[in-house]
Amino acid sequence: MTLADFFGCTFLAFGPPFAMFIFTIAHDPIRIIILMAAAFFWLVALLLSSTLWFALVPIRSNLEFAIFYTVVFQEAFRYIIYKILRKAQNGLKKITDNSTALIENKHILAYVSGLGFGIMSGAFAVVNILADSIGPGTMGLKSGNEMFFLISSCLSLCFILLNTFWSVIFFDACDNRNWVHAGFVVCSHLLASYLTLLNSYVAGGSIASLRSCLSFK
Amino acid sequence: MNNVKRSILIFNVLYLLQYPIESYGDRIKDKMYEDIPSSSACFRKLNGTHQIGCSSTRGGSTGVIHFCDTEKDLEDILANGTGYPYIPILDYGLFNPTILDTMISSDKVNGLILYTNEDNPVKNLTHEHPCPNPYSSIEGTCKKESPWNPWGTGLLYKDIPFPIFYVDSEKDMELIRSCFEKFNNFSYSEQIDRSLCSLELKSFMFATTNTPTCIRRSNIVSNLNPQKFCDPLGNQNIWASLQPLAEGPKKNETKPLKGYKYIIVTAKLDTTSLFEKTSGASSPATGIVTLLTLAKYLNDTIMMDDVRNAKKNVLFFLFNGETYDYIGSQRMVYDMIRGNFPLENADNLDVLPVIKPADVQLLIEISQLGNAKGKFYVHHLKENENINKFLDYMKNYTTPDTYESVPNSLPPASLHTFLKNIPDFPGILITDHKTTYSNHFYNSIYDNSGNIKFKYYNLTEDSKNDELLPKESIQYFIKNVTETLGKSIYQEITGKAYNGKINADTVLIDELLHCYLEDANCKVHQAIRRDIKLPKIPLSLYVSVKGSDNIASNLAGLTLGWLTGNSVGPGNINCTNTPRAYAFRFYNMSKSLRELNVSVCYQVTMNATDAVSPAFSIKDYDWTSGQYSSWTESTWKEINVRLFLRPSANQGKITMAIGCITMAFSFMLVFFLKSKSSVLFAPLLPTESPADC
Repeated sequence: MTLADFFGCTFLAFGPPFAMFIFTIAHDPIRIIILMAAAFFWLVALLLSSTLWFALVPIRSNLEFAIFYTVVFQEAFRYIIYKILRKAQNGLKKITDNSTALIENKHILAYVSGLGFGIMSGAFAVVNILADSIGPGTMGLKSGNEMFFLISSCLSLCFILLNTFWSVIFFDACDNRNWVHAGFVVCSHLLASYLTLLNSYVAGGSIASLRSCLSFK
Repeated sequence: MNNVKRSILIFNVLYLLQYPIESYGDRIKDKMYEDIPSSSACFRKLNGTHQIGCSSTRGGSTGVIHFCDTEKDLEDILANGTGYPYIPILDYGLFNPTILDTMISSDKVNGLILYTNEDNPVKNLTHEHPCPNPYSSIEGTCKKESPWNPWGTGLLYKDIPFPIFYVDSEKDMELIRSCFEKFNNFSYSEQIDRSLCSLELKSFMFATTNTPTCIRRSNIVSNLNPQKFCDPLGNQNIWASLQPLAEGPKKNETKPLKGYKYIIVTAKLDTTSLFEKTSGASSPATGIVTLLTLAKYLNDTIMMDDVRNAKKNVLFFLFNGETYDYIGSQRMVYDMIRGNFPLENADNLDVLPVIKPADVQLLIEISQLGNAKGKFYVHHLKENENINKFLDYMKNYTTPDTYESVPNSLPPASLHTFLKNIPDFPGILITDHKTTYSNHFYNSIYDNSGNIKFKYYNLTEDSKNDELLPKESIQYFIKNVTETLGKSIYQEITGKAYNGKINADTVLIDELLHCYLEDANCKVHQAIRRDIKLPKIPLSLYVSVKGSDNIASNLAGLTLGWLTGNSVGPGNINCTNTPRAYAFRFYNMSKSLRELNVSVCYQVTMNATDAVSPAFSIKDYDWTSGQYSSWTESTWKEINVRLFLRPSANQGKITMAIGCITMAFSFMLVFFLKSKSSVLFAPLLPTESPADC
C-alpha cells in the first residue's frame, strides 16, 4: 500500500515539472544548461543558508529567523542569475542557432532558470519525506495526519511552480526597474515560506491548523 | 524614529510567530515509528537434524496488533477481522501449544507479542520438554507417565514460522495498548477501511535447516563468502580445586601432586528461555550459590594437611551449556577420558596432575534447590560402595525431615553424561524434588526471585543472622544443605566426624542470591573485580556462543576462585601472573565481604576449560548420530520492534490516483500550451499587424 503512496506523491510533486521539462526545455541544449545552472545556484544558496544556520548555534531552533535569511539568500541568488544571464546574452547569441526566440522573448530565460530553481528546491523539500513514505508506516501515530505525504508533495509542487513564476516576474521587474514587482516577489516568497510553519500546529496542514493559528492557540 | 517603530513591529511579528512553534531536527520517520526497546526476541537455534525457534521475514514481519485477553478473542479476530495479517498480543500465561497451533494454521498471523499480566499470575509455565534433554539423558530415567517436568510444553524446541517477542516494560505495553484502543479496538469488520496500529518485528535469522547445512554454508573455502550463518553454542566450564593441585618453592616452579583421589562437586551454570532474556533462579542460581558457599565452607574447614594426608582433594566444576544436551559435561568427559584435563596434554606438560574419570571417588551434583519444603533429596542411579559410604555420612548430619535418599532415580543432570560414558561412575545428585520438579517455571523467564521466594536481607553481622533469617527462607535451606554436604565431605576426607563450630556463611548466601537474581552490581562482584560496573539487573545466564564473552561465567569463575583461593600477601601491584605460573593465578581481591576495601592478593586455583561440544572438533562427525550436542545459534543482523500506523488500502489508492491524474493532466496542459504558445504568448510588440486570426 505504501508503495502506491510513494509513487502517487512522486507523480504529484514532479509530474507537472516533468511535463514542462519534456515539452518546453528538453529540445534545446542551451535551455538545459541554463536550467542546470539555475539549479546549481539554488544549491549554492542552500549551502550558504545552512552554513549560516550551522554557525548560529544559539538560535538554530528558531525557524522564523532561519526562514528569513534563507529566503534572502535565495532571492539574492535569483538576482545573481539574472545579472549573469543578462551579461551572457551576447555570448548566448553567438552559440544558439535560433537565437531570436531565446533572446528576444526575455521571459523564456526567466522561465527556464525559474524552473531550475524550483525543481531543485522542490527536490530538497520532498525527497526525505518521499523516502520515509515507502513504509511500512504512515503519519498519524504520534501526531499529524495520514494526508501528510499528499499535502507535502502538493506543497513542494506549489513551490516549484511559484519559483518559476517568481523568476519570470523578478526578471521582468529587473529589466524594467520596477522595484515594486521585485519587492512583491520577495515578500510573497517570505509569506509563502512562513505559511509552511502552520505545519507545526497540526502536521499536515488543515482548516484546524489555520484556525488554531489565527486564534493564537 | 520610523526605523525604530518598524523594527519593533518586525520583532513583534517574529515573536508572535515564534511563541508556539518548536522545531525538530528529526526525520519524519521519527514521528511515524515508535521503538519498543524493552522487547526481547525469540531466536533460532539448530541441531544436527532440526531448526527451532523463530525468525521474521527478511525485511521484518509486520501485522496489525490485537490484544487477546482470552483464546476466544483470538479466534474471533482471526475469523472476523478484516485488517489481517495480525500480530496478536497475548498474556504470556495464555501461551500454549494449542493457541500456537491455532495461529500457525491460520495464515493471518505474522507475529506474536507476549507480555506479563500482573493481575493474572500463572501457576506454571515451562516450555522445556516434559523430559528435559531427552536424547542425551540415560534411557529409562524419565518415565512417560510421570515425567520430571510434567508442565513442560516443549515449545522451546518447536520451529515457529513467525517472530515472537516478549515485551518487558509496562510503559511500552501501555504505549501499545493506547495505540490499539485509539485506532484498532472497534468495528473489526471495517478495519480494512482505516489506518491501523501495527507492529514491525525484525528478527531475521540467517541460518536454516540444521547445523551441518549451516556449517557447510558458512565454510569460506567452498563458498568464498566470509558470512557466518551460525555459531556453536558453548562457552567455558569453570573449575577450581579446594587445595592446590601442585606445590613448589616458587610460584613458577611447581610440581603436580600425583596419585590423588578427587571428590567433585558440580553445578550447572546456564539456563535458557524462549527469548534472549533469561531468569534462572531455581535452575541454576540455587545450585551455583550452594556450590560457591560449599567451596567457602570447605576452604574454612579442610586444610592442606588434611588433603595431603588423605591424598584426597575436592574439585568444583561449573558446567556451561548443560541446558542444551549437556555441552559442558560432554566436553569435560571427552577431555578427561583423553587425558586432556585439567590441561590439554597434561601428562607431558607436568604442571598439573592428569585427572581421569577413574580418579574420581565421588561426584556430587547440586541441582535445583529453590522450591524445597525444608527437605532435600539425594538421587543416585546405581548402588556403589563410595555412594553408600557418603550417604551414611550425610545421614549423621541430617534428620529424616530434611533429607531423603532416592535410589534408582536420576533427574536430568550432568551426571547423565558421566554415567553414559562410564557406567559405574559414582555420582549423586542433590535436589529439592523427588519424582517431579517442584520448580513449575523450569527454563522460563518466570523462574525469578519470586519463584524461589527470595528476599534480600542485606545481612551484615553474623551473630544476629540466625534470628533474622526465617527457617523457611531459601537462604536458611541452602545453609542447611551446604553444612550437611560440607561436613560429610570433611568426614570423607579426614575420616573423622566434623565437630567444629564453623557454620555456612549466611551473609555470603544472601549476597550471592542477590547477585544472581537481582543486582549484578552486588557486593560479591565488587569484591572480586574492584573496577567493575554492572547494570542493576541480573546477568543473563544463557550459555551464548563459542568465543563470545560471557560475563556471568567469568564472574562465577572469579567468585569460585576467590572462595577457594588462599591469600598470599597484601594486595598490590606485585600480585600478577608473571612469571607465568601454570598451576595458579593471582588476583587482587577484597579480603572479605565485610572488608570490601581491604585488598588482598589471592592465589587462585580456578581455571576454565572449553565448553564446546566435541562434535565441532571431530572430523567428519555424523551429525545425525546424536552422540554429542550439536546445537548452534543462528546469526542475525538486527533485532527490533517498532510501532507504527499502517495506512488504509484506500489511502494508497487515492494518493496514486491523484498523482497519476495530476501528471496526465499536466502533460496534456503543457502540450496544449506549447503547441499554442505562438498565440498565447504573442510578442509584446508585434512586428507585423495580425493578418487573419
